[in-house]
Amino acid sequence: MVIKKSQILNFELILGLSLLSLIVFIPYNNLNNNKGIFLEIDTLANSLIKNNNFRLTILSENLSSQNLNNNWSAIENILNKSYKNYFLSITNTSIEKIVFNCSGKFKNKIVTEKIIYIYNNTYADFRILKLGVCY
Amino acid sequence: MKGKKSQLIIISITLLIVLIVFINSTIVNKKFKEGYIQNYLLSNIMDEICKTGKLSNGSYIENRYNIIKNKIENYCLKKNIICNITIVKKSSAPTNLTLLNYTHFNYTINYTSKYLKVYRRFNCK
Repeated sequence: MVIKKSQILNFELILGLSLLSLIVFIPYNNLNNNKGIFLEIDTLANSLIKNNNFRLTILSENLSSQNLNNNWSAIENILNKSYKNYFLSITNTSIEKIVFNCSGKFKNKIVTEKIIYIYNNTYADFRILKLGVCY
Repeated sequence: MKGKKSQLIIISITLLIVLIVFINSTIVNKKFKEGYIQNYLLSNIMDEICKTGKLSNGSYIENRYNIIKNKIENYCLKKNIICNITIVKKSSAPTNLTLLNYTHFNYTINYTSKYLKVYRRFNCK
């Protein structure tokens, strides 16, 4: 049986086109993966901002100082149980204070933002919580 | 020669189709992701407005609503989103401020961004 040169060319053509078609589906796969991770983080951020103690921790964190003045270990424990590499910051739209930052090399960073309007008897402030995962 | 020419045409057309589908899928992906994220922002805004109302005494409630409304609208503007929030006292609201609470207001949000356009009237429960 002799395979013609044109048959080999056609085979290569089909193979090449099939590989190219696969590339087309990569964005769809990324979308589904990102959607799942985003949903996870957003749900976690949602549950955190519904907790009054956490809201007070955010409110009482001094954004002008670089050092953390609150104890964030409870949040750190929760995040450690869920993610290896994560990011958490608080901002009042002008100053951003990073509480936990992603470390090492990573390809993607998915971040969700939550607005929080918090106050006690003497003080009120509008802050934004950013929670993200790096992988 | 004819065979090679037809193969080149097939390759070119297929490459073009693959490129168009690829670009289109990337655009759809981005639109969907942004719309998805902004839908969460919208519910976050409504939650915070309601939380503010529920935790405020009668004499403070209107002042706090004004502050949160301005803060949210400014935040949205920085993100190139228009969030028009209206919090209007119902005609049936009590005149005695100490009796005023979140149930005596009508809430609407008009949210316009590149990816999401929503007009929503909502209640705080």
